[in-house]
Amino acid sequence: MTLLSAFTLSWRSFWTLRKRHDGPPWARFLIASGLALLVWLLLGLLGLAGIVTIAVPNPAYFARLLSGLLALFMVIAWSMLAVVYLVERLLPEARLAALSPARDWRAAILVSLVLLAGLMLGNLAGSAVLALLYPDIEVFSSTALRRQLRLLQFLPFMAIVNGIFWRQRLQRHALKAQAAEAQLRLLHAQIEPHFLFNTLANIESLLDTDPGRARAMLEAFSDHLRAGLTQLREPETTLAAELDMAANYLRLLQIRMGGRLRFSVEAGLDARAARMPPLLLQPLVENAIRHGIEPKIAGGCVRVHACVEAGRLQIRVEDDGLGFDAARAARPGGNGMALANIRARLQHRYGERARLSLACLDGGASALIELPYQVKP
Amino acid sequence: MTRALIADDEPHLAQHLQQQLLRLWPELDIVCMAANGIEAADAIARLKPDLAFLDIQMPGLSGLEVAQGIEGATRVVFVTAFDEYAVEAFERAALDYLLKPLRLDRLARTLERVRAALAGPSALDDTALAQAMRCLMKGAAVPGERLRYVRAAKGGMVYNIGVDEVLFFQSDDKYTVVRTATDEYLIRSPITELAARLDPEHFVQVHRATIVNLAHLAGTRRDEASRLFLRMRGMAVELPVSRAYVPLFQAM
Repeated sequence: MTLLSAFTLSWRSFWTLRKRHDGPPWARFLIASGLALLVWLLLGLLGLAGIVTIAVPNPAYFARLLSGLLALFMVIAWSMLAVVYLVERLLPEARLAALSPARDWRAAILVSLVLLAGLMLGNLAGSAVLALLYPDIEVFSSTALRRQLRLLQFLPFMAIVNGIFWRQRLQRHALKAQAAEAQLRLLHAQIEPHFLFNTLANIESLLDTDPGRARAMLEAFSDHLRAGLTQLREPETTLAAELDMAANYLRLLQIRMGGRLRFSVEAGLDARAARMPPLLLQPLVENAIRHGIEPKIAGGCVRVHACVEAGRLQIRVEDDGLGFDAARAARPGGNGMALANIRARLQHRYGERARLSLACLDGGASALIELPYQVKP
Repeated sequence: MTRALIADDEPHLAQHLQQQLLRLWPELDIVCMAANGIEAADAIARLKPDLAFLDIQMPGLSGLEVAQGIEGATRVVFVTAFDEYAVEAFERAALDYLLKPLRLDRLARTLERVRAALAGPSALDDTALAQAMRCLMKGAAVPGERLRYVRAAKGGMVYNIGVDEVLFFQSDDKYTVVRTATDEYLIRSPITELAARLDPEHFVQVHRATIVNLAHLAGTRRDEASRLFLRMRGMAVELPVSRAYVPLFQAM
């Protein structure tokens, strides 16, 4: 193991609670010391900039103050490390696993408390040492109690910084989880046995009687699978790609369902160029088929329409199938999870600037996604 | 001559099955190609074919529901792309089913069995069908509180009826009729939902549209076409039993 890889490994697992950390213990120790040094330097810079002022009678005093502070910070860092180590030893593995990733604010508060305990303990121990070493410096010789109280002044500031840090971590995690869920959903839909085997069975049934059609269907099927795989790898896509994927899917279903399915996909060039997160449209089209058209005896029409209006991209999926109520009766246990996933992803990425709305049409259903219109610069 | 019906909502699959059947069994007379469950149920009741190939997922009625409504002697072979509950249920009951895409050798084997079964009428297939149906209904059951009362409307009043008093439930497209010894009421719950929530010791589904209370069963009757009917205590009306559920009453 090279020195560099030892440090990278340690750094990656530095911010989580675990029984067994990646990288050697000495690397962890050095990282903690390095962080203390960093804080010390930062404080020194603040001092130079005149933001923190301490009355300094002479240069010798100043040097002793600085070295004393560095020693204090080191002791604090090591003590935090020690408390974290103690917690990691004492708590059962399952509890640690629940604490370590950014799960929720309770975990965040608990971890913060553990760190705070380490901080205070270090401050206490460091002060005792410093009071012995530098009895002439007033900052160090004040009583331990007053020192702890003074430290508490920083608490609100630390809490705010911590809060922001954890919030961002939580959001990143949630976004990643939702994107992963959408991908899983697509994979699941593509290898869903009814879809997969019925499609294959249709291709097989056409091989003898209508080879041209069989070939067209095979092409649409492989395009659909490939589009899915591409979408899986991209964090962002264009509406054009999403529309092509939907059109391919509908083409497949149209061959399968014969005259029962009609569809149209319409979008202007400006709309087609829009950037958007992948897999927002496909679940809506699948819902229109599964809950609207497929269970309806006469079949129906799916209409996908996208346009740009006042800087906003509007994507609409309409069907004249069974509609929400009847669909729920025909196929209970519907796919509300897919809609919840789309909503959550829009919310995370665009906040209030994007939304998904559903409407019951006179015989059928309509879903509308609205989001800010963005094109690649 | 053996007469058969094919039901599948995907036209190419229906045609393909027809071609393969004619290849393996040229003298088979395919009397109807149904494009949905309702067409299939109507055609089976009207044409009384010897054999029905039913796709499971169809609009209108599922293949299973169509089978639940068969009163005559029509034998059923289910066709499915793969439905884990169904396949498991069929396998356990040793019932005939076909997987899509079709395999010719598998189809040939199924047809051999069907031919043998058609030659000598046996109760074995019906027992298997009944068993598979019960498995599937259990699989579809929504766990929940067991029903002890039903609240049913009649003439602007809502009545609370103990399920012990109910002779049978029977549904049409929209409503389910609750029949007691003295009166009848309407509720909105579909039969499948009721079947899942009633005590199976007393209430058995005997048809796609009917659940009876065994405590009020007076007797059974077979007609000349060997269809089975139930008579409830104090009632003149007879309730037909679908072929899938006939074995339930053979021990009685």
